[in-house]
Order: sequence, then structure tokens, then C-alpha cells
Amino acid sequence: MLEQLRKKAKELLKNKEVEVIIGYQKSNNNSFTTPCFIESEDGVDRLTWDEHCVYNLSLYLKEVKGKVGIVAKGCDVKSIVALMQENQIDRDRIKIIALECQAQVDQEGQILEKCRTCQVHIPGMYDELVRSKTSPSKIESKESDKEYSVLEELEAKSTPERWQFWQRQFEKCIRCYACRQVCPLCYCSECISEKTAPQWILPSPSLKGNTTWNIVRAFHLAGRCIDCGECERVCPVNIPLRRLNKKMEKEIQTMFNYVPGLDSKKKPPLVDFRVDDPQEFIR
Amino acid sequence: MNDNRSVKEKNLELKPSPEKVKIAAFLCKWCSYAGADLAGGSRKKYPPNVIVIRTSCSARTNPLFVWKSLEKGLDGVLVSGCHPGECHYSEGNYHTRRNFAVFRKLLEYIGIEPERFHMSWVSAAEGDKWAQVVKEVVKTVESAGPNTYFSKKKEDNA
Ligand code: SF4
Ligand code: SF4
Repeated sequence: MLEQLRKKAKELLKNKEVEVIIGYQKSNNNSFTTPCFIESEDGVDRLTWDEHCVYNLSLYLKEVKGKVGIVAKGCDVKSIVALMQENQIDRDRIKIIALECQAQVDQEGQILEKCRTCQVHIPGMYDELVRSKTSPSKIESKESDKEYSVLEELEAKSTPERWQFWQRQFEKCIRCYACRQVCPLCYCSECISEKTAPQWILPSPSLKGNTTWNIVRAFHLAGRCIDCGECERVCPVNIPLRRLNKKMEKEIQTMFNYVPGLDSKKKPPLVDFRVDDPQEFIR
Repeated sequence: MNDNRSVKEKNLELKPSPEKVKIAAFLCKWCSYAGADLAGGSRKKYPPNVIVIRTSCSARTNPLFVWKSLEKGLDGVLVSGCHPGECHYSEGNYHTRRNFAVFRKLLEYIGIEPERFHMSWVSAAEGDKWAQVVKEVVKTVESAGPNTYFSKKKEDNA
């Protein structure tokens, strides 16, 4: 796979189809990877591909100007689709080198939760596709591997129990905003968390401010989050942010039959409506 | 409203009391606000627990307003607008409906009792309906009791 990836990258650079390629390279200690930006043909040998390529590189698409090539997994492609839906990137200047991805692992070598229910091992949109030789998937499926099974435990709790659960999580938040910075869809140039007049969200870490921040973050991503899971990965205090995003995803799928990141022509659900949307909760 | 009461009396009323729930009501100025006005004008009786905030359209009510009301200690929130198809801006209330269909699920998931959040469609002609809605909403919010979400923690400000 790696040879093919490098070959395609080299071609793109050689034919001047792109000026830079965003990809993965080995980290200094060789056991993980870091993002890299390759501008010349000789650089392509730095490109790497293994199960440690966790980063969603579409985060950089908005910042890197000009013609860019991007190495992307299935889930990363979904966020590129979401960015296109919101007119944030111009598809014409982007070349997607998509990789068939079996699963990614965390630092302990555990398969990521999101990969257990992945439906896009082969990405849904690309210019070049690099297939893996070792299909089929190496994940042994478990009973609990249904799309929304991560939510079941919390959903079964009573409302006050859930409040307790989330308060215990939110009180850990140090408001580093890593979750926001790493999110490809949190691209606002001015975040509401930074507004001071009026100040909606108390900036210092406090239970109230943290709760408000996390509610705002979850809601602003509702119907848009494509579940790359990067927020949860970077959170230094291990708040299970995916359990918030996934819940929004589930409710929106149930009510509006919409799954984010699949169709670049569709309007995101919260800027859209149908005359016969559900309204049994309204008096 | 009879305004002969002394300032002191009014101040007393603003203090939170466990028996009396307080509810923020965000009303679209084209219908629900006018509907509430009509209810007042025709001397309909309804509980005085709602604090009315006039909005230019129900879609102006950002879900964050709802959360902020709860964060600030109100016991319940009501968002009301024109019936579907009757929005002054053609489609504002359709967006309101979607937004809150999702947001109420988030509130519930975070651990806020569903009894605290309400939505209604009340037109400018429905003074009776407004009075009825307030009665029902107050009763439901009362069943959830006073808002104690943040009151057990001392560390907090604002
Ligand atoms: S979710 Fe799918 S595409 Fe994304 S890392 Fe996991 S297996 Fe790969
Ligand atoms: S990454 Fe975690 S600690 Fe940092 S702001 Fe987000 S939720 Fe809070």
C-alpha cells in the first residue's frame, strides 16, 4: 500500500497537479505518526501509512492555500464532504488520495471505538484510491458493535443520574479548547466561547462555564459531526465527547433520516426543514 | 396590571421561592406575544409565573437562550411562535422546530428533566390557548420542582 501511496503522491507533485501533499510521516520515536506537508518529489518517501495514522488531516485544508493533495481515510473523507456542504472548501483545488483503512489504534494498541462500527473502510469520495491487500477487516465483531451501542449505558440511566455523570465529566474540563482546535468543522473565525459582550460562556474553568461550553460545542456540531473522534482523542482529561456527538447523530438520524458526511449536495439538517417534520413535543 | 403595589412588595416577589416556579417565555412578536397580549386584554386568568421576552421571530430564540435561562436558575423555559405555515418570515418557525427537536434531546441527555422545556404554537388570535398553555406549562414545571442544578456547588460565580 505504502509504495502505491508514495507513487501516486509523486505523480501528483510531478505533474504539478498539487503544490503540497498533506500526509502522515513517522514520528521521531518511530512508533507513532505525525502530520506532514510535502512540497517536493523527493519528500514523498517520508509518507507513511499504518494503523497509527489517527489524525484527521482535513483540519488543515482550509489553512493550506492553493492546490493541495490530501491523504485521507474514509472518516476523514466524510469531513471533507461536510466542509464542501458548508462551502468551506473548493473541491477543484483538492486531490484526495484515499486509503482503504481497516482500523486505527490508540496509543495502547486498542482498536478505536469508532472503527468498530465503521462503514467507510473504503472511502466514499476520492481522486486516487489505494486499496489494501489484506482485506477483509481484521476487526472481530462483537455483540456490542452496533452503531449506537456506546450510548446504551447512559441512555438507560435516569435523568438525575445522567446529570451526575456529565457533571462529573464536565468538572474535569480545563477549557483548553483542544476539542475545538482539532475539529475540522469548528472553523468559525470567532468562537462564541471568546465573545465578551455579551459573555455567553464563563471563560474560566468552572462547573457552569464548562457545562455551557460542552453543551454549545455539542449542539453546534449536531447534524455536522461525522464522528472522526478527534475531540475525544485530544481531550487531556478524557471527557467522553464522542458520547455527546454520537447522541446528536442518533437523534438526527431518527428524526430526519440524515447521516452526515455522505452527500456533498445535501443541506445539513439544521439549516434545512420539511413541512412535515415531527412536532409531537409542541403544544 | 394593577400597579399600586409598593416597590418593596415587588422586590419581594422577585426573590426565588421554592413554591413558585419561574419560567422564561420567549415569544415571537408576530403571534404568541400578541396572543399573550390578547389574553391580558381580555382578562383571561393565568398563573403569573412566566417572564415574557419578546423576540422578532421564534427562530431568533437561539437554543443557547434556553440553556442560559436554566443555567441562571430559572425553573423552566417556554418557546412559542406562529403555527407552521404562518411565520411572518415564511419559514422561521420550521427552523425553530428542527432546532429544538434536537436541542431538547441534548438537554435530556445531559440530565435536564424534560418537564422544564416547552414549546407551543400560539397565534395572535389565540388568547385562550395562551392562557391554557401557561397553565399546563406551569403545572408541568412545578412537577419537576425548583431548579437546583448548580445550587449544591459553592465554587460558582456569575
Ligand atoms: S472509522 Fe473507518 S476509516 Fe476511520 S479510522 Fe476507523 S476504520 Fe479507518
Ligand atoms: S478538550 Fe476536554 S478539557 Fe479541553 S476544552 Fe475540550 S472538553 Fe474541555
